[in-house]
Amino acid sequence: MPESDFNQIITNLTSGNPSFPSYIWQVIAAIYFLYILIYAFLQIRQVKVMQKRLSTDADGIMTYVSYGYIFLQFLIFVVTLLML
Amino acid sequence: MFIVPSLRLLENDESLEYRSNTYIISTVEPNQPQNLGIQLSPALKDKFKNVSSMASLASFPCNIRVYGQNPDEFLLLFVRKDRIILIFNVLIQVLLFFFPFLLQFMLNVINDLIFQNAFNLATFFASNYWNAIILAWTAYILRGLYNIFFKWFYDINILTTNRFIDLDLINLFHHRLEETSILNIEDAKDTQKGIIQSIFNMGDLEVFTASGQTAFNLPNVPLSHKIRDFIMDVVVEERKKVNDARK
Repeated sequence: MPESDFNQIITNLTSGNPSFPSYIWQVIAAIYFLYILIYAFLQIRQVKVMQKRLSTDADGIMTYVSYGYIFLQFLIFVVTLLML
Repeated sequence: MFIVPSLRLLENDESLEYRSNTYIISTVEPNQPQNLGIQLSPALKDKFKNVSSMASLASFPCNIRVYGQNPDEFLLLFVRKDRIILIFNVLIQVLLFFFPFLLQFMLNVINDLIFQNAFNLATFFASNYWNAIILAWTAYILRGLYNIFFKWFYDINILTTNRFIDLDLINLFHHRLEETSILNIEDAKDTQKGIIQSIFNMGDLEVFTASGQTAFNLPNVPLSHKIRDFIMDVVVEERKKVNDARK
């Protein structure tokens, strides 16, 4: 790829050029984080199932950790969208 | 669409539980044998204690319950992979976190040394788009850390007064709970190999059942030789009790 073409692509990607508008970045980020968040909810569901198999006195903490994890993922998602 | 039926199954699972088991599972209060008047030798009774749920190895825990545990059944031992394995896996994730920064550094060096800064990478790396990629990568690493911890936590083997139980969380949609009566246990073998296992005093334990095949594999467990000894002591003791009862 010629250098000028590469530099043009970089300029298009980072400057909200009409040929690659910035909302495309937001759509890509939204799809990715949707995947991460659905995966996180499924992970928590699996942990709840496992807590039925093995019950310990740390179950309450585990639940809080799980919801903290979801919150953190959501926070990263919002910050990313605001940045784009 | 696929979540709805599985959630319904979960609700049904609650109602299908055997009543006494439901009680056992739902309580997390210490269930000391002496409180229930269970016939155990005085020396054994005193051994039951609250243990840390995060431990790799604990004997006589009374604050942990396993699915289907009967009121007269007690946990004698639980063991999971050594915590050093968890730390190694976490360290790998921490190193992976720095991958985008390493990539940025490498590309800058290549662009500088080979292409004399012909490519305008500085603009991209200074933009919010690159920061967004790093945040997305952080989310991915967090997902990995969460997965690693829970896979370690729920990959556990338990010896009770009646059964040997192997609980595995293999991946998000795959878990397994296997058990056998301790009277079926024929043999146990522990192997310590490699520099990591030798340094951290852990090993691979195999428990064989009456069929002669390996029924349970416990890789990288701490003090595997002591666990093997403990399991076989319990098996011999239980067999003796059964034989005495038959006489």
